[in-house]
Amino acid sequence: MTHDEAITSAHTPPSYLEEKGRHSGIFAWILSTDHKRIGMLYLFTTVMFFLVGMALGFLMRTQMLSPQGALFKNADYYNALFTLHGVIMIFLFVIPVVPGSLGNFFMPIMIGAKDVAFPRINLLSWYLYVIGSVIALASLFGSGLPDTGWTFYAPYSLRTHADIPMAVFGVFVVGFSSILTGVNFITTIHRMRAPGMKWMKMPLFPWAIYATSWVQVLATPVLGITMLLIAVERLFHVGIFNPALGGDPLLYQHLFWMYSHPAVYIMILPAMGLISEIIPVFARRTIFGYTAIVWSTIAIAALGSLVWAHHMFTTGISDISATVFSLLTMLVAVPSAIKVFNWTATLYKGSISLEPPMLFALSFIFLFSIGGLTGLMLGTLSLNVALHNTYFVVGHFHYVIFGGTVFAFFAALHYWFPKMFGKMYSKAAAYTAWGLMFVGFNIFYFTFLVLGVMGMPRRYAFYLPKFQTPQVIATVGAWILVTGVLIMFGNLIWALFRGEKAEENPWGGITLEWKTPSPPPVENFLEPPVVPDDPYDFQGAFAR
Amino acid sequence: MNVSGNESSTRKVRRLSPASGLAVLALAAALLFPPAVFAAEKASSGKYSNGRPKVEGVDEHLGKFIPLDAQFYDSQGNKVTMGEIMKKPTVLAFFYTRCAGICPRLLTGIATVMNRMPLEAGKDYQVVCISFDPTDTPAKAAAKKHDYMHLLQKDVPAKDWLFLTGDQANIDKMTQACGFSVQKAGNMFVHPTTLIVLSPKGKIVQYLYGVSYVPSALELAISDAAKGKVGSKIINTLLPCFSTQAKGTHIVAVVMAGTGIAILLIAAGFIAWLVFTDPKRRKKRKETRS
Repeated sequence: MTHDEAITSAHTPPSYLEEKGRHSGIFAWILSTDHKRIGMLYLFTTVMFFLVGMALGFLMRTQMLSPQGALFKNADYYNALFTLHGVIMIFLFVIPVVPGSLGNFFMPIMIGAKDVAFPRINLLSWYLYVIGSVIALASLFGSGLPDTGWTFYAPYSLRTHADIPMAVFGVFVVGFSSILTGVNFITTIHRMRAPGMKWMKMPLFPWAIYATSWVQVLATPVLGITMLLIAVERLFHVGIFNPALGGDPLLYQHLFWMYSHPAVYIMILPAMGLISEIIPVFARRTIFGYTAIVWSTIAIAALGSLVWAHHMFTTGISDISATVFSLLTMLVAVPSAIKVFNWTATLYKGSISLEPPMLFALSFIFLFSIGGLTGLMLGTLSLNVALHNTYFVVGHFHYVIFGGTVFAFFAALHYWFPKMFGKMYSKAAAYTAWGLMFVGFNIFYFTFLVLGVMGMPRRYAFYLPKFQTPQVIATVGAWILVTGVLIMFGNLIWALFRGEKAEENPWGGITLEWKTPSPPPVENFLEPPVVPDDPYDFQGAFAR
Repeated sequence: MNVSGNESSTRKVRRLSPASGLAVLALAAALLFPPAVFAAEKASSGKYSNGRPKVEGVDEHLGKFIPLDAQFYDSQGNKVTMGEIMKKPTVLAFFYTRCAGICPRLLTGIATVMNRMPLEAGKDYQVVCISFDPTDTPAKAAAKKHDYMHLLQKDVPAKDWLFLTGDQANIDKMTQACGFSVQKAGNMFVHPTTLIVLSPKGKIVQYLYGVSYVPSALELAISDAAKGKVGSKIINTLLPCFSTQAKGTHIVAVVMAGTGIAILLIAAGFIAWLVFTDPKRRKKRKETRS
């Protein structure tokens, strides 16, 4: 259909939700190459994994109610719980969630494109993600309960039930899926921007997706190399990682973190992009320092690839490397801080409306700042030794990853929900959910920081009685948090079926996704989108 | 290439592009790869006879007892049996005095955790370090003891941090009872690093790995030990000690450098393709030319 026809046509084309394609039923979804439907597939799978991971975390917290363990007396079950919780949350939820679901759905629309550059590879990526997830989880149950922790380190006795090569293979397949997604998104952003969408006119979420895609493309091959080396070791009995063959397990840790540290930036960069979208809309003000945010995004992507060894201060790497990596770790904080200052400056003199997405976004800034600052404490060599392997570390990364990425994801879910489904959720329920989550989260994880300073070691199913009070406080916090999360998803699912019809642009956004119907038609736009001169020029938009 | 521009009027059914064909091939190869490796490995299993030092690591013997009749010499040269030593909860560690690898860090880690724990050595527990090198003498052990006692910021009676040496038979008796494997490599040793916490009667209640210990983790183990209660396996990374460079390291370096360069070249090619074959750019160039 040409654009003229689209305009003159009496019927608006069906939305992507209603479109009748070649397939019907579930096949209309799992065989669809529409980026919006693929985004939905990712959304559904990642949220499922999140709920499973949360249930496992809930069991862990319940166990910690009593020093002797409230649920089981056998630590093997606890080991299995935190291994699965970690693997599911990190590899199957946090890494793929934002690029996979929201990136797929909104990046093409925000740059005014009809789809991604390679729609079929896009679908293949989702299948690889699902296959890789199954392989990674299956490998853990090789012949018994999982006992490696989420890093798949060959553990205490070098004897484990888990099939480590299989696990690394599973993670690699998931990673391969992100390489394909990365290449796809990079090409899309280079080639398919609407006329007039110059690089420096691009909204910040596509920018974040662009930087993330490069990290994915460049960092993930390390997993492939690790796979290859494990294979070489097993096939030719060349000692590489296995001390039984004269290899060095430290090498495995280096290679693992060479991927997993950049993966931390794969987790946080898209989240920062989401926040950069939401803050200006609800502050009714142009984003402060657009160029600075773009460059800090690129700087985080570049520096983030260099900090991997800071996870190994206490594992016996040399003092010089420890100092260098300590310094690099500090450096990454600079562009992150630039962003936080920019968001805060955007709020200054803005006309702020505290809608649910904004509340989640503001919580992100607060929680992520705590996460970042505690990260600096851990990056400091002297403190790391004292806090190493305590709850402080656990508290820190939950502040960064849950308080950061996941809160940003929830913010965006509330922000874009009316656009994705054309329905509006109950704001009262959303406020309640947010309140419970924010309060519960801080009771839960701030207590973890305190427990860490008190010296509570991580990964223990049992503990000294002196830690019981804070452990119980943390568990109560976790219950509040879980209640909030369940209310939030309940509210969204309710809205999906019973929600009121949403307006086309309920928040007054001016980026391109708000210039198309909700939910968007299959081809994304009814008429060629007109690219604004500045994606966040609210004054100009009001003037018009 | 399969880039659909904004101009393309309908949503075409796309042919298999070269890129997706390549991806499918790569995927097939990748999926077949591990089963092939595992099959090949099965075929060649049991051929671990390449003469390199082997580390079995630690086989946790939780709940078992150490041999109380094993005999050692303390750092003053007095003969002692384990039975005479075991009177209170005991933190046991194996080391050897010539170790240039992780043993010094292990001993420093012990001193550090002793300083940081509220428990008092001598009253609540004792520390026993046993050398697994039969050529070690009480005199060498005494020198070590002098060095490391120096790191303590608390008053610890000399008898509560013992450095023992002994002959091969007694060493084997102890290491085997603890599931601790030591391999000779040249005139040095390859061995894991672990603390083993024992009850006053010599029952093994907990293993703690690495060289840096969380004080309350050790405290928990010691309080279990006092009650004779066996702890559980704690997931942590084993840290083996080598005095020589691992053999595979150079292979990894070569592979990493090679693939690193390859990835950067591919990425550079990808950028070049994106930028130089961009239809918009070509159009612009044509316009400026004409």
